[in-house]
Amino acid sequence: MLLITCPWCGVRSQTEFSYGGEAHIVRPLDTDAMNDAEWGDYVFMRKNSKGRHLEQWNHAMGCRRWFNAERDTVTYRIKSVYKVGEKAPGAAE
Amino acid sequence: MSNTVVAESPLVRFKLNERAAKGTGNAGVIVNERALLGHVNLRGDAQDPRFVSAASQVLGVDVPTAANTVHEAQGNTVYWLGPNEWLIVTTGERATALVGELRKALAGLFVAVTEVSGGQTVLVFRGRSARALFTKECPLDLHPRSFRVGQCAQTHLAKAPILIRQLDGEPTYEIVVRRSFSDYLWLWLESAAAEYGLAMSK
Repeated sequence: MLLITCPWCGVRSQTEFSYGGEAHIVRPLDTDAMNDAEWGDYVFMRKNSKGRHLEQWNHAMGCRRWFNAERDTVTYRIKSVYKVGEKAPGAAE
Repeated sequence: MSNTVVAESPLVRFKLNERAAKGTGNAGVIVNERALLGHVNLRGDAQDPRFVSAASQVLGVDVPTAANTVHEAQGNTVYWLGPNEWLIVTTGERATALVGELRKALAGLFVAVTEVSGGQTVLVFRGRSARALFTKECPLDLHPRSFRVGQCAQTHLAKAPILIRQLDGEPTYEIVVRRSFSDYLWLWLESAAAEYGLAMSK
């Protein structure tokens, strides 16, 4: 059982959340110009990082908002959470 | 074909009023349904002062902008559901007119006002074992240090999504549950509260 901090509601049980996979995957705009390999890469291929992983969560049984979390896939420790549209912690720019 | 439509609580088959007539005896959990109230879902931009002031004026109570808080006045209870979403609970007779008034006051703003009265019902839990019952299968920390009167939270009880708030220090809890989950939740309640003694009140 994880305790996950919702950016709005605070610390809640994992059972209130649903998982949304890797974060910051941007849908390509010019899809007509893409070949199958590129499209397959966008649809299916993920980093599957060992360690720091930026991922999406939805507070499904709470405020029903999406947000992002920075989680270590080895220890399962969630280091930080941030709202959709906010930059990942330590991101460039 | 009769044209008469009778509003019924989703818990009508459990005959709560008949059971309430038997009294509460020494039950540890006492439940009463606040049936057939008016429920209105309101969505809008909490950052927009025009929205907040216009909605608050119609409701006669400030729309809560702090997460998981609830404001109550003028017969309206306004629950924070999300950063741009609220539930207003009022009397059954008032709901439809309230929707009209809100839509008129908020015309031109990016909002949605939806009546959801038929979609949910309200249950109030009191008694010495009310908190113990919730701690069985509600993951929310109900300890007074983290959940108090004036706060509300969406969470789940057993597998049913609920909106919960504490009404007083006894503690008395009030939950809003969807129609589609109310049957399941009531059956869960019958078995979960059996050890404390379960009674109904009007």
